[in-house]
Amino acid sequence: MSTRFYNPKTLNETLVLLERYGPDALIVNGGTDAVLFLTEKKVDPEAIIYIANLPNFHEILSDESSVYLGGGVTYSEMLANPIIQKYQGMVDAVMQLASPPVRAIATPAGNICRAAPSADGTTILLALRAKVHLVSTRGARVVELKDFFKSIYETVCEPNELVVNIEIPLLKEGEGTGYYRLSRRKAQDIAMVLIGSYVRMEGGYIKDISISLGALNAYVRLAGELERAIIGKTMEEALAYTESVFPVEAKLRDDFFKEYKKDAVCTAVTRSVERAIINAKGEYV
Amino acid sequence: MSEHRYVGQRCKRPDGVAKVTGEAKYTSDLVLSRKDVLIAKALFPPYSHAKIVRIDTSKAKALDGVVIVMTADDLPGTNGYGANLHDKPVIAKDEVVYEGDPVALVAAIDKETAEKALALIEVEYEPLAAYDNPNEMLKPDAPLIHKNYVVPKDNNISHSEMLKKGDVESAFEKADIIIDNWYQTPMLEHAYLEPDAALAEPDLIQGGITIYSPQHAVSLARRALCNAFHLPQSRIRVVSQIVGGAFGGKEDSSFDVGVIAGVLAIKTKRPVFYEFTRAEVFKNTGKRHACTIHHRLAADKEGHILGIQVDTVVDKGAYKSIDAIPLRTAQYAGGPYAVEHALCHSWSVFTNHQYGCAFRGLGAPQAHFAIESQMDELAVKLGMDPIELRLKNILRDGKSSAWGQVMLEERGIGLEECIRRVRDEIQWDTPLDNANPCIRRGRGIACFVFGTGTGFPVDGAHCFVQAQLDGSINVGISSNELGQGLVVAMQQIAADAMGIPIEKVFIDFSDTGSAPEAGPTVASRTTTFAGNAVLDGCQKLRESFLSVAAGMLKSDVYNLEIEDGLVFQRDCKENAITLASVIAKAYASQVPLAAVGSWYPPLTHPNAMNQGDKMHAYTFGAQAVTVAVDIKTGEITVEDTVLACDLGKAINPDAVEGQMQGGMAQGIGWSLMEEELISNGKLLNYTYHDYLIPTTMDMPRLRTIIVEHPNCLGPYGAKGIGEPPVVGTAPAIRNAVRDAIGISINEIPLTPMRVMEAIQKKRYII
Amino acid sequence: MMQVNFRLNNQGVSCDVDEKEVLVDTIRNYFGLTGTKKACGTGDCGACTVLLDGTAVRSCILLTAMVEGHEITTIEGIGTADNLHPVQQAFIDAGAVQCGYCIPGMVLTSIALLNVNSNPGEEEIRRALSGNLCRCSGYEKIIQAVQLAAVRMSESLK
Repeated sequence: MSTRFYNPKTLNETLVLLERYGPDALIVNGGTDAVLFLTEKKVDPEAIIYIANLPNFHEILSDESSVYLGGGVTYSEMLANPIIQKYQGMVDAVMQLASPPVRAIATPAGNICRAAPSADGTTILLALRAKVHLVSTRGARVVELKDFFKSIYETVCEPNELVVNIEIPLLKEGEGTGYYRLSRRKAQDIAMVLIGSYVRMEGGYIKDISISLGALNAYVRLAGELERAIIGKTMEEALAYTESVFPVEAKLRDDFFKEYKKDAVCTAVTRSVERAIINAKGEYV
Repeated sequence: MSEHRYVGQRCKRPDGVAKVTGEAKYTSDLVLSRKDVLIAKALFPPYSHAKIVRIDTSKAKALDGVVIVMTADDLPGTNGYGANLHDKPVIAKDEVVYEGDPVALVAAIDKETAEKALALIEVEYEPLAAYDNPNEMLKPDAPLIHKNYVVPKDNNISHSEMLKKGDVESAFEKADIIIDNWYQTPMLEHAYLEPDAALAEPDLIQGGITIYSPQHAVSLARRALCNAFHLPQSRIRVVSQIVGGAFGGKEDSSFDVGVIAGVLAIKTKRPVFYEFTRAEVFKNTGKRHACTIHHRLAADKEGHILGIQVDTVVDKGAYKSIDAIPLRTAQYAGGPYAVEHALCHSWSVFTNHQYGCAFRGLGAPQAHFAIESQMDELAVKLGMDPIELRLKNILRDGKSSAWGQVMLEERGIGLEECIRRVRDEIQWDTPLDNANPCIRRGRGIACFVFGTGTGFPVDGAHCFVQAQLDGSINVGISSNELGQGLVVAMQQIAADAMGIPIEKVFIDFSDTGSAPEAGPTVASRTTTFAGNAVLDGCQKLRESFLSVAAGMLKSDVYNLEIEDGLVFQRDCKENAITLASVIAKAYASQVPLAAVGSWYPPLTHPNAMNQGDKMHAYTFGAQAVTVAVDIKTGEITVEDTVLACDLGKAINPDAVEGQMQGGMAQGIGWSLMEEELISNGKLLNYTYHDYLIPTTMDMPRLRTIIVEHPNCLGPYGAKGIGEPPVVGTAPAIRNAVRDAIGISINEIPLTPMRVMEAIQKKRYII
Repeated sequence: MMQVNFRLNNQGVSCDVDEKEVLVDTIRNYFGLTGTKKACGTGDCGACTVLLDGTAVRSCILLTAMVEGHEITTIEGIGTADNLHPVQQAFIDAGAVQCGYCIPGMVLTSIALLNVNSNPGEEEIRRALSGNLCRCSGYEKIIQAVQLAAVRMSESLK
């Protein structure tokens, strides 16, 4: 079937196209996943909607409480941004995912919409309790990233909706982020374990903590029980806890890596949280 | 030793410029501008073992733009081809025995049409049980993988070898220590970046065909394909462009594309091009054989090896292909050591998956993984330094190997120097930093021996050397430029041999139309064998030209020298003429301007117990590694590595270092991350993101030491270097990991999963 | 089918391609430039690297339609045999070229790196090239080549 290619120049144009084509459209931004689906003939859409040229889509903006990553912001653009550079966990996640030519054009918006189980961008964003701003011809809505996934490769994003912003909190003093990843080689590998973390410290105690688990479930999830258990602990107490308690939210499936994940997850969680706490103290690992 | 003008220098390779500008043409680049070439595609089965019940190609044939659809009944010749036996079907007829057996072929005007045609071919299969464990298939009651093999067979053994020396039973009885272990190495992908491709061009003048394909062995290709093409070998011309990586794989895999393009070209009388997709390269072509090795080593309490008893089961896959691995694993089961008593059995066993073919080292890496791991286990048992233990046992002048060959100093035995220099470079005795309780560091060493040449009783090389009237020469050599530096090395040898500037040497390479058989570009033999053939041809021409020059200069022929294209009298340099004018005189005097250069190593006499001389000379080496193991995650980082190889003479040190670094890199991949996973005969990881080779981030600095103990029979003393560098890496890393965490893991790759399992259980059972 | 207009090696070009065609196929089949290689087709190896507005990207997972209005540089746009780019010369002089299949991608990625970081350390070079696979060299002489090029390019600016 022949496919039409659209290169819309305004958001409105894009939304009208999405309304018209719905599930028969393939949204392409960096394309590092989407174009592969096309070449491997996994999809045969009626329309390709190329959104990399939308105005303001590559902006990273902030106000007094939040940072907004535009729907077309690439990983390279994030690394070059002075606000993002303070999010150590984000920097670590981005530096380790895929490869430089992919990071040059791939986007976190694309990553969350793909909803793959092993997803670096998604994992660190979930630890930051990101909110997804969706828009369609029928209006706008905000969905918390933790509620964004229905199952593997499936999100609540409707076929006529577009991610226009990913909102994360603006980090303040005493707040830090961390990231730890386990893979089989040191570059360009889909990870076996991904752990993102965010922490707010006060007087040497954990006041707020968020731990995200990537590649350990059908989609990226928060380790709520671990989080609740280590609130109020000191760094030493918290790390001793995470070292020994396996996150119950990690429902490992029976595959090649299951035994390994059982053995290595606690280490990954501990190291991620440790980095977040060090980052919260204003230091970098 | 006096320096030569070119040999031994870091001459720049002539193919470098075209490769850095992207202008260098590989086989698939040849067809882009052509409008007359048909594109071929093959239909492969979704099963690794199945009966073909019914096949209907009518809809495919009717598709506009499809020129031909072939099934097994449409072939022009025998339905068989292969590097040794013609046991691989061009098109499977009744049964497929692995997922790379084609069931139909299509040639169409373009790729899209060919792909559409494939989708229109209807095939009904009856899936059969698939067997992928060679250890099971070796058992006497195992079902037959091939029920109607080309040679009558009532078992699954493709080939077996036995090596017997001395009295192994009494050696073991006398032993103070016996080290008894199992080792397992995986099936591996060559992962050359250039996919297999072939352009088949019918010869409409004399009735024949030309196959353009990246290869290892253009002459072998004729023999491999002649029955399938139903053509005399002389009517098959095979031409190889520069090759985008091969490592042994393209010795046989090139026939998989070549035979398909060829039969389609013969039937359509049109040029046909087939390039495997990357997935097809993974699923169809040959691999490194997985091996299961049971190694028993008997020693006395001083650490002297008394004997070895080794059984190796080699996973052959579906077809014979290159079947030398049983021989090599038996030959090298004792490693680079003096071994008096040995009993080694090896079997290559059929299974329902991708066939094993040649891959850098050809069984020697697998064999050395076992013996070098055993040596470390022995060292631990004795409380002895692993290097000291090895130095007690290594081959030296006058010592006999497990295969009963007495080592000769004049052929170059530089193993001790390699070991000592590597020991110094890696700072073997300096304590490692083990302050961080999570990171354990360790050092490991392995040493190895690797023969130059195939070791078959007859192995040799020929070339043409032709002088032109302007003083330039052509050297026709059938060897391939795989990236190893064939062209520059042969240029250097010929230029020095003739006494002319290197710019005046042109190498006509890998074309059966321009060169006689030099043997395959394998077995680390090309520098030595082809180099010697080139030397021979050049020396023949040189002699006859100097005779002519002697007359022209009125000088004694023994008093003449050639340098920089000038012939002169040694004791009176003004008495000189250009080589070009000598050649012109020769031409006018009916003196031939061309010669055939030949070289054979000393004839060897095969012995039923595999005792006696095999290769004429051996490359020796040692590799040391420092690793850091994260004991909480199982991740291994290779922090430092040094490889020393005694290769006799480095014709071009840049190219030699490139081979050493490349071999180590492949060894690191094999040790840490590479393995092909088979389930029910089907390959599970067939992309570059599921089959992992090392990236820049996985690689330490690869430090190399060139050691030269000349081989009196080699050109300028050279021995082989293509394969040896991969042979010691895996055991060196395995030994370093054992040093770091105190656990012996005898199965590679040492992925984080294997390492964690070993750490959790404090041991690792295969 | 659609028309795509962009700049290719400093020249304005136009081509008619299928909407789903990837750039490496257009470069090779439509424009006849063979230096960009298709080794895997899945975006894993870097042999298909081109520069998109000066940034190294993988042309096997880029639709030609996506480069409308952009500047694409292939290896042919870098240098010629008579006028090699310093990075190309450095690759030759360091002995970094073996089979050559990865080399166009390595050269382009190295140039993109040196254009933003004229004095990269070894770690930075490895990281920049971490998306380019080489099976022949172990990367050792490739890294030396980039270091050599960096030194020479800085010196020529003095």
